[in-house]
Amino acid sequence: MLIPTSFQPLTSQESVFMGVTVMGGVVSQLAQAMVQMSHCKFLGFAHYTIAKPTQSPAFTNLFFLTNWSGLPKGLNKTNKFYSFLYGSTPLSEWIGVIFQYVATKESSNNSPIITFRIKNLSGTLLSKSVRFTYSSHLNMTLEGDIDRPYTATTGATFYDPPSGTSGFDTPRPLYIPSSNRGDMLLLEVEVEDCDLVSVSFFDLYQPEVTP
Amino acid sequence: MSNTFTSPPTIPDTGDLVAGKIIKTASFERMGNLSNYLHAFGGTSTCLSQAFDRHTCVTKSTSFVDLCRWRIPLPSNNHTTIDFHVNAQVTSTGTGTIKFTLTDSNSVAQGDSSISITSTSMGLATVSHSFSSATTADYIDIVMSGKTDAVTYDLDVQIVAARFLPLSSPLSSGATAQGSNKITPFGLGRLAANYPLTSRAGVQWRTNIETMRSRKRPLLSWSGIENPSSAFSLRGFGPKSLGVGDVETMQIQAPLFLGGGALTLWIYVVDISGTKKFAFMGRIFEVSSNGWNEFSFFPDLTNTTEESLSFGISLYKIHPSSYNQSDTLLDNLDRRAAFFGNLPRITALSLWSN
Repeated sequence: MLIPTSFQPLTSQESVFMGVTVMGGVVSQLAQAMVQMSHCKFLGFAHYTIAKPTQSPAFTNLFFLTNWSGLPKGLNKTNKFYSFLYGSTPLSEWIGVIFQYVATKESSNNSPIITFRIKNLSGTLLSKSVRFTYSSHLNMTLEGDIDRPYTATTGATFYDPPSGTSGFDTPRPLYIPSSNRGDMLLLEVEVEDCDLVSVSFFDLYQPEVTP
Repeated sequence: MSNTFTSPPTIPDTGDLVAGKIIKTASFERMGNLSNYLHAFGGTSTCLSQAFDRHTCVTKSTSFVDLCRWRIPLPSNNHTTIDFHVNAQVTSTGTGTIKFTLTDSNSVAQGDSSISITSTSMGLATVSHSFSSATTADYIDIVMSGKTDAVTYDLDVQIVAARFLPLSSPLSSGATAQGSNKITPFGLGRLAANYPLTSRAGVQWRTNIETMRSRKRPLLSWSGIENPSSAFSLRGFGPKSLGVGDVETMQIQAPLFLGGGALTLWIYVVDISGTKKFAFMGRIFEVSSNGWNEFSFFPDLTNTTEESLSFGISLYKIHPSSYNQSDTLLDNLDRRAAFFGNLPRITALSLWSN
């Protein structure tokens, strides 16, 4: 059946009163309204804006920068790990990701990489990781230009569930095995030669499901 | 007869519910099942999520100081257990404590819970908090405070997240509520074969749908770091208030639904004098009171994002807008409001939709 994305007008209240003939369309509208909520409105969602230091180490105490406005380039020459948490639902299967990052071409060996891993709260890897690399999936600002965040996404193509947990796949939605759906999950992000600014995780909307 | 549901839910085939088809009890049973599931699980994904780079959300205070605050919608009057998760550490051997204090929108204190942090590397820790009394509130205020046992090291928080725990099957018998709006669980036996289809079932489905459509989804929960302190130089300089730089980086993409009505925006303001202005999603709001200020507005649903095409659903940018006049509440490039302390500023922000 198709999953509506909008709050379609409900049938009138009188149509479910006593003495009124049960109409298939009325019942169908009620069913569709509930499926819209279960498979669209109440899908999992988590957004993280990452608070950055607002004082540049290059300056003394009187110069404070905004959350993101020309912070020093070339942050994170070493790998940096974030452990985001995501409240999945029993219907969660594929998680889409949209994220903002900055990367600057400071030297010829800069090579931004961002890796997403999905784990349970004990730290066990649940499915194969997903890796974004320069220049296939990530961009870099030229040195001397003002840093501005780029946006990247996993896209929403539905794949066959990945097998095993070793190695990396090129960007695709993150996969939750059936035994972990509904759990609070750890979404570990490893960032190299670039910096993460914000990230949104959300259950992918499936326009059609089989009852 | 009990108000059970399956998880994940079984869904009715709407193709079986049209004129000319024989009424199947399986379809009605699934509708009751789905209604119960929606009440139990609706709105129980992540309700609070915020991240801090290392050395930004820190304290060395030996007594509790407030670090962050959030305003979070309650799924229903039955959802009174919330799990808090943090990724945090202390910077050298010792103990740090993170405390979450809850007050509902009826000004009823709902207790506090603490997490002890002893790890000297970033690690996950969790506490489950149950409200200290029943509630009929629409939302909850959460204040996160922190302390250490000595001033020689920091408590450093990197991630904070929370979710309300879903209800278990079967649901309690009898009607319940979401704030003051009614929800009636379904006894699935009554929807099975050989029972009459009552008008009451139809009325209750309709009422449940109206109630749960109004259940809020928190799309953005942001807080500045109110009272950071550090045992080390150049640490504890995270954002204390919303600044002009956040206009560019706080750009959540979230689905909004046609027919979903107004968005609810809350901002927490301190040191206000006179009337100041703040822009969000292209609208300008006037503020003249300290504390939480509520605004309601209808989003422009024509401005979908580029990424909507990739994800097959209409996504919209949820973001503060640039307003750079002299009466702005956004902190400027010099962070004067945050660091000189007495200028009007926004220290927390929440946005909810239906």
